Amino acid sequence: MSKKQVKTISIDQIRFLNPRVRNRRNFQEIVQSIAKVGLKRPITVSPRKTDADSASYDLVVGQGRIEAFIQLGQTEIPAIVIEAEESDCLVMSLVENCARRQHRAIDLLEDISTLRGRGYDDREIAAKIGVGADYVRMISQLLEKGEERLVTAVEAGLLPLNMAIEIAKSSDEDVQQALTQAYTEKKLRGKKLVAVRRLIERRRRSGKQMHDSRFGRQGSRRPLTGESIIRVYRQEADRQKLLVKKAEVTQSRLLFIVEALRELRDDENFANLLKAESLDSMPAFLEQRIAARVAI
Amino acid sequence: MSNRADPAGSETVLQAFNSDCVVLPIASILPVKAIEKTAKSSHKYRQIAASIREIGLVEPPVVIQDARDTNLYLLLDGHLRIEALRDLGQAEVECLVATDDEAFTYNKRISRLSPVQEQRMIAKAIERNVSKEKIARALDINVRSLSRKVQLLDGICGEAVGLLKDKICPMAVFDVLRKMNPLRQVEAAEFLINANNFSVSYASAILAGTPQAQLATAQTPKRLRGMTAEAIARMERELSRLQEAISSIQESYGQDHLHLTLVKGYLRKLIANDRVARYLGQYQPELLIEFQKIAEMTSTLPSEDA
Repeated sequence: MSKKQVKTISIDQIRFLNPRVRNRRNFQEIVQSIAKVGLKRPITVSPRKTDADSASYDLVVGQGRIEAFIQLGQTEIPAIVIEAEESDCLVMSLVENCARRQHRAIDLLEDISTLRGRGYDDREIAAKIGVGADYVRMISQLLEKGEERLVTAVEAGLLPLNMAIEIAKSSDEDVQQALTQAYTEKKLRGKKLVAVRRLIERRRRSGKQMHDSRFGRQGSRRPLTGESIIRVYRQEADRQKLLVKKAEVTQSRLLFIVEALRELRDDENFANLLKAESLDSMPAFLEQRIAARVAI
Repeated sequence: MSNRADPAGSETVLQAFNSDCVVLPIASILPVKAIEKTAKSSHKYRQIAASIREIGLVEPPVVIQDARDTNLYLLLDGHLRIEALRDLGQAEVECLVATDDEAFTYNKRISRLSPVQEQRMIAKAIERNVSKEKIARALDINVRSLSRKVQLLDGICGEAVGLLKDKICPMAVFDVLRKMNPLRQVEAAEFLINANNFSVSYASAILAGTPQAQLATAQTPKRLRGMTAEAIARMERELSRLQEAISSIQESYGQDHLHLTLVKGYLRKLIANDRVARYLGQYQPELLIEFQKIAEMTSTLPSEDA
């Protein structure tokens, strides 16, 4: 067996055979990780046979690492050079991208506990893996409680870590409060808010753990019949109808409260009473709506 | 962090492995975690084994010398590959030697390829004259399923592909979308994304709710096993009504809900105050009762949750 050697090669000498588009956020994480703990694996390249352009290597694997290096202002990157035909390079690149295994959040805990088992404290572990000590403490706390769903959401950038911790230790009612707080502090808005609400709903309904296997679907699929299509459609339609109804109820309830409080505030005695009891400062939203003098 | 990414202030990036690889007896490599029983019977595992048979290991496993017994190495990354090599009867493997003993970072930075991205990579390789047979063998699938992967986006309009390109959306969903005309495909992709439901059955339900005129072949009448024409027509009408309603509330509902939570907190304070509650009880008893009801509510639809 010939021993492989890592060589440092110039990035502009590498040609991408089969570029893939990637998720921006994931990419920023790779960049940060490399900046903090260094490059963990060399890329793999193969010498070019043809000289149609000036590049002297074909990339086999490591597009993300090269892009991260470029962003970090590097012009060279450590690489393992292998001798392979272009077609083999393309197949290797496919295999690396398609035949990879998904890791579950729980694997990360295992990796952290292994390090703890070797006697490192959270600070040392944080330095090793290139994150803050708070991250190690909080993510372990979540995983120990079996909050796979929340950890996965944190990993996907959906939820700030400290909010996941809040959710994990709160009752369902308090979770609403935590959400509300995040909303008023402008930490959670728009599409993310919708997504987090959905996540919390699913966690409440189906539990903290995720049940999907990391090795893809197992067992056979049931054939689709007219009835099963209608059933799925019904479920989805009912879910959506319920959502529409909830939205209507929520809106009319808000409208009612705004109208009621507006009427009450016009009653001078009541307004004075509120002032005397220091209850006259209403949530900003209420103030605005009452002042607006129009329906929602 | 951003200052470190600034090319002007770039420092050399640390290399966290030795420049020389080592050839080690597989017996001297200690896995740091157990592989679950289900892993070895999975398609992913067979795929890894098949790719090793076809083209060998692409990237070397990562190890670090054991601090107590220098004849042993701890395996940091490549558990399934080492297992596959052992199954293939290999005695030795070339490994990369890490300079730190953590395994966390290797696991963390893996991004899953969506079917659309996978299709693009495979199509590109075929375009460059790699034989389908070779690709199929390396990925441990048969040539027919490979061809299916390659043709995944045939008949799907670019806008729908754009919407679904980074979604883990099963291949069979694209077969369903193909039966719709381009505009309906875009609509359907939006429904799937909005409901965050990429199941084939949901896609089929959308197909069932698609008017004849919006099918790819508008002339051939739509047929669905076990469904009457009336049932289909009813679904079409209902689906389009629902979709309108949903898209109009989706954004506002989240905000309204949070506002209501805030307002409920204020109402609770009001009615918890004896003087306020007494005043309301005397002059606005109906309002007091409503306020109490709202403040106590934990769900938006108490009657249905009860």
